Amino acid sequence: MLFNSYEFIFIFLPVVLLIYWGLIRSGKTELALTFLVPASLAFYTYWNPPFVLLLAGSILFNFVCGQHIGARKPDRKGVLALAIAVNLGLLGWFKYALLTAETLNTLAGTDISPGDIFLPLGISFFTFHQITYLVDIYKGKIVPVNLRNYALYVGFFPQLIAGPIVRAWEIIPQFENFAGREKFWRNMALGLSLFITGLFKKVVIADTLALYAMPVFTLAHEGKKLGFFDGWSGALAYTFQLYFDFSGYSDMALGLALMLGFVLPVNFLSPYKSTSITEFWRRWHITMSRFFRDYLYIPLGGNRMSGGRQIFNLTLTMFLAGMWHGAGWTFAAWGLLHGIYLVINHLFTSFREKFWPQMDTARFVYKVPAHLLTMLAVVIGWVFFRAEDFKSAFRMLEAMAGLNGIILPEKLFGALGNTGWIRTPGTGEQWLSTSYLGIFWISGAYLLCLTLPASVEYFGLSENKTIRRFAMNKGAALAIAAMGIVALFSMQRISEFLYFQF
Amino acid sequence: MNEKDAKYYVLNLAVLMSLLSTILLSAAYILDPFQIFHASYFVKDRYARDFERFQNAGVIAQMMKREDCCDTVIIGTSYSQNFLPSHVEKTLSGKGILQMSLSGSLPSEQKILHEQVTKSGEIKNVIWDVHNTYAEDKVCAPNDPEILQISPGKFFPQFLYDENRLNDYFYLASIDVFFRFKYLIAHGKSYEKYQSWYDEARESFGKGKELGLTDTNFSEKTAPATFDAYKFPNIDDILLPTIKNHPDQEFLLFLPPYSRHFYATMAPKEFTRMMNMRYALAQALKDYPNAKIFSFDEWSETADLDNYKDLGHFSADMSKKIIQSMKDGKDILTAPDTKAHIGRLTDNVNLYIRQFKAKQDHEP
Repeated sequence: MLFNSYEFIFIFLPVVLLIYWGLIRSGKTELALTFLVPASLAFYTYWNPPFVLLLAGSILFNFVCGQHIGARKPDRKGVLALAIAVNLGLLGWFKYALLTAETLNTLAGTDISPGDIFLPLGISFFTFHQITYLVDIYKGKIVPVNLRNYALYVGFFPQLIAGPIVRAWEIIPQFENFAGREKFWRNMALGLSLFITGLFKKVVIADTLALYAMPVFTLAHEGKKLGFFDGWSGALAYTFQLYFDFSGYSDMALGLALMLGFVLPVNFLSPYKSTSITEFWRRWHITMSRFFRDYLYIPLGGNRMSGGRQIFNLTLTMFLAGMWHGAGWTFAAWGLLHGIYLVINHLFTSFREKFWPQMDTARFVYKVPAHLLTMLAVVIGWVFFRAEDFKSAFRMLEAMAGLNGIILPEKLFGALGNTGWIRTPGTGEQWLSTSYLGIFWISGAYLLCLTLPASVEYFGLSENKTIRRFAMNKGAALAIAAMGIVALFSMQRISEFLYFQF
Repeated sequence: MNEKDAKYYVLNLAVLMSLLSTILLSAAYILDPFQIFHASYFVKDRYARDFERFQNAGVIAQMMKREDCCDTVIIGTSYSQNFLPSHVEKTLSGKGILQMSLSGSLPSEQKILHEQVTKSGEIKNVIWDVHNTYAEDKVCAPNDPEILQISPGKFFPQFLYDENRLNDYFYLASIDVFFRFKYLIAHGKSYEKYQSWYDEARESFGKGKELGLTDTNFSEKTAPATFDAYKFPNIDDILLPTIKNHPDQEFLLFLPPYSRHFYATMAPKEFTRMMNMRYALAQALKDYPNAKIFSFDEWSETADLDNYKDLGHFSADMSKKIIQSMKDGKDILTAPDTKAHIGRLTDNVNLYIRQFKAKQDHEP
């Protein structure tokens, strides 16, 4: 079940909230929390019933391992290694078996077929949740918890399928010492507002931008030559689509958790305001970044190693982060590219601090080019992230570099005259007739990213004293209600043909 | 931020959302751009082709209310969208024509449309274009994710075509209702013309000539030697059961007259499969006296790309000629003649290829 579905918003959520708060109001808090476990499993079951057994089995297995490791038995290291291997093995099988087989078949000429494999929803997230739990127990940062709280930690429906990646110590104490009742209306008000904001970001902004991104990438995949503007409009539309989609979903997750009386960690903090790649990764998918930092980069040696080893660690970490996002070598390329970006960023920072220590990086003249360069790097990265394959990605980059010339519609072309480089579409080339409206959406989305605070800052879930925070008054209620209605009325679109084709 | 303020805020939010949604739903019901619930209060005889999958549901709803509607339905794809209702009615002496063709429609969508219009109990004639989708090896359900990913406009609102009238109200819960109403005012067309794309595409006719020799498949074709190696689930599971279940209706099926250039650029495997499909269909129809299949591939017009918008989509004149053929009972593909017909088609395509190449060679 998706958060942006009628069945979730009008059936699942109201029923769960009614039963949950009904139990709490009648003094049965423990029962209410226990109720969230089957509710979360039902939420998961709706997508593909058999996979709930995989989720339940995985929870039980890791729970037993956690108890064993927590009992400080001598073989706890072996049990930890086994549990991590099983978790990664499951993730590997479901997510990477097809890719591995395809790669082997291409490289070694084999004919391996793992059969039809369906990727269980959220497996990347619940696998990471369980690994962090086991490692944190092993390191003595936390102690094992009871089965109810563990199942709730892993399966808690607001975070189950798309994160944020929550650490056990962040949420389990909230289950153990439930304090949501005292601030019921405050949490409900903030939670509802954040959920509506996220829904609006997802179904109004992201889904509209998708209409401009998707056809361009499809044409690139079909081998069509794209013009300069088409390449850029597709890449930029996807850049903002992804942000509004993912951060919108995270907002909805945080809002849902608040409605149930819990606080989840912040996942996005205006990443497109960044002036460096390092800053970008401090603002983008924060809970994933810190997972890779704490459970891979630092154990590999992190910044404590020599320059060469540090570069290797960083690149490897980002490569694996790329692979985690999807089973395709284009994802790996995206991760690798960001690894290289980070290395360059670190080298540049060291260089600047050594040779130009007085440089004021807070000045406008530094920040603007730094921001534009960061955005350029990020957008190029997203091309690999979104493209179906490398050929499509390079076709997009070729267009964005102007190598196919600048293709304009005939009317505009006529006004500019024939310069050779600027031309009308030839056979197999496109000018996207929808781009005028697309330009409005893309520039609007960019403006929103640059000028508005992150929604979690606005609603007070993340500290930012420089902004005007959300106030619970009639004006705010009207604005949020209007956003909510527009979002609800945008969940079902009557799409027209963007590209008229028979 | 105290609990009291928060409580009033939540209540305000709930009241405002209820109020706003009631206003929007009421406005959407009044505007009802596709006339699903009622005939338009604001514009007369205006329909929207670009949203035809929604629009057709409204056309059915409104046409069915008329006492004089309808004994003939046109089911198909863009290849039958230029059949103008008035011309079909006049030529075939029909009593009201339901034009239900949809661009790029799937056989499964066509079946749903046929079932829906048949509920009136008055349909006697069904004109059905058997596009090459029927040669595919699988039945695609409406809203196949792979198709929607490329063409979101092909979303088929099944809830408007099912038995449940209550779920039709889902259509109103969309902000697009207001934009579609605006579209209807600006671009809506009369029922007679709303499906037809010919006028808009007139300038594109003849441009197919620019294509051709560069296509790697542009080579002579061979008629299949055998005709039993393929299965056609769209024929077996959709078309034939429909014909069988409605013995009271006369089915006038036709194979769209694609240009010879279209066949010339076809991959040999695809050509073989398509010829097998028409053979299988013609043989199967022997058992159904209420169905005829027409083929126009031997028309001289198919050798001239000036009659085509691209390699397949033919002119309005050819559309009229198809209807005339149906009236005259000409160009019927019979089971015993199918193999010979395929042979003639292959010969015509090969002759076309040779002439085309010769012409290219002589051009400076």
